[in-house]
Amino acid sequence: MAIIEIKNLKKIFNNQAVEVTALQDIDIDIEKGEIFGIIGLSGAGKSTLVRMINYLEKPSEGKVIFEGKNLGDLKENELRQVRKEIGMIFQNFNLLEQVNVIKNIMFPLEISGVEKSKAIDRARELLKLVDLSEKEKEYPSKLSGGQKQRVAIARALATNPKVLLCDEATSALDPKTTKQILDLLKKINKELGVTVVIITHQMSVIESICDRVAILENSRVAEIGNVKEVFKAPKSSIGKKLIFGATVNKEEEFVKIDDKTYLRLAFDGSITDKPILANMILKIGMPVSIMYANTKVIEGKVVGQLIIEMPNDKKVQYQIKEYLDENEVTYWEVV
Amino acid sequence: MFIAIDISLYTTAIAETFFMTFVSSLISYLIGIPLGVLLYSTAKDGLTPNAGIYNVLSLIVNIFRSIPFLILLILVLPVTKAIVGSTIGAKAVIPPLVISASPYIARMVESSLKEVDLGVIEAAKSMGATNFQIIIKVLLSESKPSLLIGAAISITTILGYSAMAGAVGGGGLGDVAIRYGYYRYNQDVMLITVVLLVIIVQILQEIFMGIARKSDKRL
Ligand SMILES: Nc1ncnc2c1ncn2[C@@H]1O[C@H](COP(=O)(O)OP(=O)(O)OP(=O)(O)O)[C@@H](O)[C@H]1O
Ligand SMILES: [Mg+2]
Repeated sequence: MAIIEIKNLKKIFNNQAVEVTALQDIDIDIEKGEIFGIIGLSGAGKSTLVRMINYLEKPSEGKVIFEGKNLGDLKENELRQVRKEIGMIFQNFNLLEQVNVIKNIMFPLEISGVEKSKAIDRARELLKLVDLSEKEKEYPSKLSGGQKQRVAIARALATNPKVLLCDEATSALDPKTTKQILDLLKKINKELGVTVVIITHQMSVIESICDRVAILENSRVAEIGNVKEVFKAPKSSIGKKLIFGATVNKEEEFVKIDDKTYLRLAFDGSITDKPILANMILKIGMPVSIMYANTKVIEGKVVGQLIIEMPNDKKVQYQIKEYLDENEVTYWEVV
Repeated sequence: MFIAIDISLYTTAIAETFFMTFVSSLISYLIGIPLGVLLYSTAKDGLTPNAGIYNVLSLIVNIFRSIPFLILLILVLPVTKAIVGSTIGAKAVIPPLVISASPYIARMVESSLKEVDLGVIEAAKSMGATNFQIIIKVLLSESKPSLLIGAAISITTILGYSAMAGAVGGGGLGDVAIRYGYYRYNQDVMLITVVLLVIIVQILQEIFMGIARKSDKRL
């Protein structure tokens, strides 16, 4: 049985007579012990969905079932008990700024009525787990983003939850710190058996630690499945865009020169790893500069994008396009 | 003349001013904090939004805040008489001071609580905290520096009002300024009381601001 069952969930926000359907027709089962990713563009409804998993937001329709209990049937105090079994971390860490690290971690224990000495012991244990023992007495303002998130993780785990919800937990962090936090989440999943639900807009986060993924678009689940399979052959158009175009917004990294023409080549996985570019250069008999590349080979298939600078010669340009057409490579001019 | 006035007149007046200010501030905070918490909680983004309760409370608070203190002082004379048993002296100033300061403090508290990041409150909710626990351990605790700055402003305002109460025989430095300085045209007395008031306000302000700065762990 799945630890979390989301059934036919719908959420409508009413704001001054304007109705916003944030989510609809959501059916997701999250299995015990897995790392489940939820991805989507801004406004897709990710935060709303994750906040309904612990009922911080009440669904307009449908059910959230945690360990067989329909959260909608619970009284307010029963719901609070359930929340102690579902930890949550956030993009902005949301630590108490006026108390030190150890008191932050003790907070959930304190409100559960755990004896102070036991709470201190437990907090120290967690500090060790997140590798921050020496920061026990520090205040959050003195910590880096990554350290703050570690404290938040320790705090979320204090009551031994079965599930950890992460809403954009790495979005405010640099790539290196992101990796450290993701490694920590993986360790928590493997060693403590905590089911992890990760909300993100970064494909790399899904790829590096999730077992399964749901792609949200316009308030619905566009696609759901095993991460490897979805990455190999996304079925939905948003899936294709997120996976193959995962780097589209990074193209500012290459500097365009006005009187030059650039071509973007998109590899959607339909081409096996034959040396497309090398063959093209051989055919036109002229070197071509690669301005930007982000491709990877997934199970022998090339996925990703390339930007090449076109030679000035119009005839050669024609040859290149002809070659790409023959080999069924999708391309367009960069403007 | 300067010497003509006994120094003990000033010391008694200072003691009375402190007495009025601190007793009024204490009682006003005992009323103002719960009222401020109630305003915060019932407001739109509060813990238990309730437009009905919020609007009624808000209206009452606004009405009391818009009545000029001098008018209030006279309006509540019957109340003062009933509570204190007299309408003159330092004690008699306390009821009007409390009535005027409590709504003001309630607003200060409400605005301090509003500064607390909603994300932190959401985190507490996600850990299964009750609203009461959130109020005590998150809202009041996280807004402590801001509440202390509010207290510096409120207490010095109350002190200023207490001096105004001298006009109706309220005791304290204001009373001395009016009775000896104004009615008897003794400019020295007037000057000394004003200087004393300025110094006291300044000291109180510095003390509270200092505590507020020191207590703020974000710095
Ligand atoms: N409290 C609210 N009141 C009204 N509308 C809301 C509320 N919360 C969210 N929405 C709307 O619901 C939709 C989904 O919002 P949500 O925050 O879940 O998106 P998201 O996928 O988390 O986006 P982001 O990546 O920007 O965080 C948006 O259109 C948003 O404007
Ligand atoms: Mg969000």
